[in-house]
Amino acid sequence: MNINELRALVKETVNERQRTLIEESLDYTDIMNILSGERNAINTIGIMTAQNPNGAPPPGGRAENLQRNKDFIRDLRAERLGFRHIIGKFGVEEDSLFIANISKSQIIEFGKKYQQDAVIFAQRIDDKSFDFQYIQSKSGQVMDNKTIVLPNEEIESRTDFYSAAGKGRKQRKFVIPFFEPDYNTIDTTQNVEDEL
Amino acid sequence: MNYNINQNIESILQKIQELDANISEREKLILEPNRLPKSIWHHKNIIQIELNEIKELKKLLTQMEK
Repeated sequence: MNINELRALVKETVNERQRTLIEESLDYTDIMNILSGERNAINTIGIMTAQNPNGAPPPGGRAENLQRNKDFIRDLRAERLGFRHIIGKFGVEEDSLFIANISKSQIIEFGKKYQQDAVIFAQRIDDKSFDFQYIQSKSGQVMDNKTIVLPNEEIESRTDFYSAAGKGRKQRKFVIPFFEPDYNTIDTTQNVEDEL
Repeated sequence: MNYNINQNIESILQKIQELDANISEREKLILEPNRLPKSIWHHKNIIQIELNEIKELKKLLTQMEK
């Protein structure tokens, strides 16, 4: 390899690295834009993993978990659903998928198929917010709902019980504070009755 | 959850029993080995919701008996 070829190779590697960093940071910004309702074309969101069925690590360990998410991705592609990778840390880290414009029945069916205790579904309320629902997969029952997503300094300092987007130093955390009583819960039953 | 005051007492008692059975099942799941913290968190939260529901149903029964 001569000096010019070496220079070209270094330049190419540097460009690739910069491109990766931009993509990673876009990942987080994109997700936060979606969660705060700024992406008008996205009206529903689903968040779930296919890993750790029935709340325990599978017998095949990490390899089986990776395969489970690959199968899930194949299902999403078959349904022509777009997704992004995110991380969930709840005691152990697991890979989750953030899916745009998925229906509530679709995400519940995927939750059942991949034996998940729960899935998260969000429905747009207005141009700035979503109703985030914590749904028990088996029954399809909404166990809690919130309209707030927390990306702040307190969340950034959490070492457990958070979701995160982006990789390495570009990783940023966020939380939908389900079952945390200090944050708002929507009474959807009341809303329906009001409309009637 | 809203329950009509005229609802049959038997059906309320049945609902309480169902919730009680669900709670017992969840308590067993929580104690299973290898259960992940996320799953324990999930079941504990749902137990709390079911306990609140039992409390509401018991209140309703007391009102009906008056």
